[in-house]
Amino acid sequence: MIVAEQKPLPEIIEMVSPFKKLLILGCGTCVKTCFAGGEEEVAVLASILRLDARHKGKDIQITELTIERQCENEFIQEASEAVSANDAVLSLACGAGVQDIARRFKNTPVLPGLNTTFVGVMESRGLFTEECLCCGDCRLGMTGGVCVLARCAKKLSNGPCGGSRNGKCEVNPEIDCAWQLVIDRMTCLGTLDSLRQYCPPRDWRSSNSAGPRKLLREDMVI
Amino acid sequence: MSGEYVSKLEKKLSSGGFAVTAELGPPRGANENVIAEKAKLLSCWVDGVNITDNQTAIVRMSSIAACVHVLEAGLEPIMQMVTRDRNRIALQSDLLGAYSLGIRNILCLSGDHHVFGSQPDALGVFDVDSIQLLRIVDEMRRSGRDMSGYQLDTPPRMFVGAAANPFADPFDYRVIRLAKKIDAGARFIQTQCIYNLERFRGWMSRLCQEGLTEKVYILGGVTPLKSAGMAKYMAQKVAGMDIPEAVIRRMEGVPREKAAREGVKIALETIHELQTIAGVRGVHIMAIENEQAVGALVEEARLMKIPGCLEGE
Amino acid sequence: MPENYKEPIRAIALFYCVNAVDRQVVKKLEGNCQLDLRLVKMPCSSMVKEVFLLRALEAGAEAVLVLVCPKGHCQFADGNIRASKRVERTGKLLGEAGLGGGRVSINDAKLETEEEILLALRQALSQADASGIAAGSKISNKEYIPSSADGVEK
Repeated sequence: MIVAEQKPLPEIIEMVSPFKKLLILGCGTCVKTCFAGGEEEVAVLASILRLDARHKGKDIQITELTIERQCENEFIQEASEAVSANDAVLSLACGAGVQDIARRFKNTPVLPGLNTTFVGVMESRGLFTEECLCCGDCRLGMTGGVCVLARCAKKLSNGPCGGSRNGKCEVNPEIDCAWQLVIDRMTCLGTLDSLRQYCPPRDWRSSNSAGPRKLLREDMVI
Repeated sequence: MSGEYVSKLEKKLSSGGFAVTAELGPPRGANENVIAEKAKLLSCWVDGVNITDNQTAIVRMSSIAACVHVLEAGLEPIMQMVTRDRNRIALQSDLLGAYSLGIRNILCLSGDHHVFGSQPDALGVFDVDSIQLLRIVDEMRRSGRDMSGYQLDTPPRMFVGAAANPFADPFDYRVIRLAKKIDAGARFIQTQCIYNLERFRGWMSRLCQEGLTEKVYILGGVTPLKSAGMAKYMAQKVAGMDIPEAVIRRMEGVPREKAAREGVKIALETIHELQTIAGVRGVHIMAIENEQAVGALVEEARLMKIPGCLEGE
Repeated sequence: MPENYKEPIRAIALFYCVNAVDRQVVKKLEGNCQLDLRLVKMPCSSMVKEVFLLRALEAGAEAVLVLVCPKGHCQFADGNIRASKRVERTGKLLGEAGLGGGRVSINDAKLETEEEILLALRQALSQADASGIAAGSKISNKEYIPSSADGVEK
């Protein structure tokens, strides 16, 4: 899923300060799962912003709404009425969702309430880990299902650096050394020998290094 | 025959000599005299001087420029090049530039991660890794082509080396990784500082078994400890460093003012041990900001002195 | 202090787990403690959510106190731990926004008498005062107090 976290409240408060009527728009997919932008987070943020406005003697009217996804037009339509009834939208979606909302509603300012952090998994309740950089050229088959691009601090393609210690990364002892995970897994699978093979430099054109990417599915175009 | 060798270091190692290299850290500033001073201290005692490339991710004079100052001081530089700060275009361009300035030895590294440096807010490039860089340099020497396949006018022909850490995890994979470095073109290897000789011997015997010592010159890393505090700090804080308890206790067991001397003694014993291990073809003495210790150590270990060299000239 | 000075009545919301304190004892406090006290009964403290605490503040409470079972004594495994995490997070958010992180607090001591509970309420109010924000108004806006539909019976 796309993992995000709420922006610091002072930043949000500053951003929304010019507006009297604010729609806080939640997204019910990825960011809900990571406790950043679902109904509950919308409600909490709305309450805080109302308390803040009252504390400062200001007026604010907040509408709370959460739609299934902010990155799909079908669902975005459901927000039309609420958007037009407000001065601005504080979107609790990932960066893609915020942009999609902004694109659909040209005359309403759309503000980001979250910082989109990474594509990852919930390793255990409340703990999220980055697992994918969306490089566009998946080599997981060669590294035992562990992405060394996303999970090695030096993006090494040919084995661990000298800083791997007790299975942990030198950059942060809380983080597993990705190469240790690769080696453990491939030892388990009996395919460790294949790591002897040289892995050539990446062709970054598949990543966003060659500019923003588009994907066209002819068969889906109507 | 001499034309086959691109550097004096390559020649010495190829002819069976026991090589001595040292490390010199460029200054945090543009003062070339700092390098000249350090070079003077090393000039009679080493076959080559590694010039670090923004080591520990702290901005310093560029390795290439410092190599040129070292050349002017009459020493042979080993240019360290890390993949942390430059993409493949910049790395190749700097290889051409470095060669044009007379630099003939290179050590290919990924580099200390920038979160440890003075500017942890920087973007880490890591477009290629150290093994891929080895191959880039090797390809230029063998085929004269850059990565795009373009035939270069006067391709750099460098003596290529890599680093190895026999003490890092996962131990079993360390030999495979070294083999990959050799496949990628590494001709010499400089190791992490050795304090745990037993583990180092184990690693070397694995290399011998795999026939790797036939293909590459191993230079064992030596760093004289200055104090018990330094030993403890390195043991705990420096990633991939293995300092056995016994060594720390030995440093603690001498009075503070004699600690540096004890460190030199340990280094001397390590060098003598290394000379007896099959496959070890030299030592790499890393004594950053302690360059005067290098000459003393080399002299005391009776490793070498460049004939006719007058110290300090 | 002028003779006719009257201590203002302080407004506080008390969320309590029925397993943590005796409901009858709590009830006795209501209207009988010199506080504008609003009670929210919970079958387990895990029912408490950030938004309920915040809405109690919106409704005019100067402070919110959550009474939970002592560590290791939740009948439903870890309700009190969940409650303490949520109280902590609510306090953090309030603090970050400059709205008084100390206005929400939690107590997991075994409180048996009216006096003990009253003391805990007074402490919660002092802690709220220490965090520098005093709402100073009575609980007036009843719509914000969570209803039994949320599993929280008033």
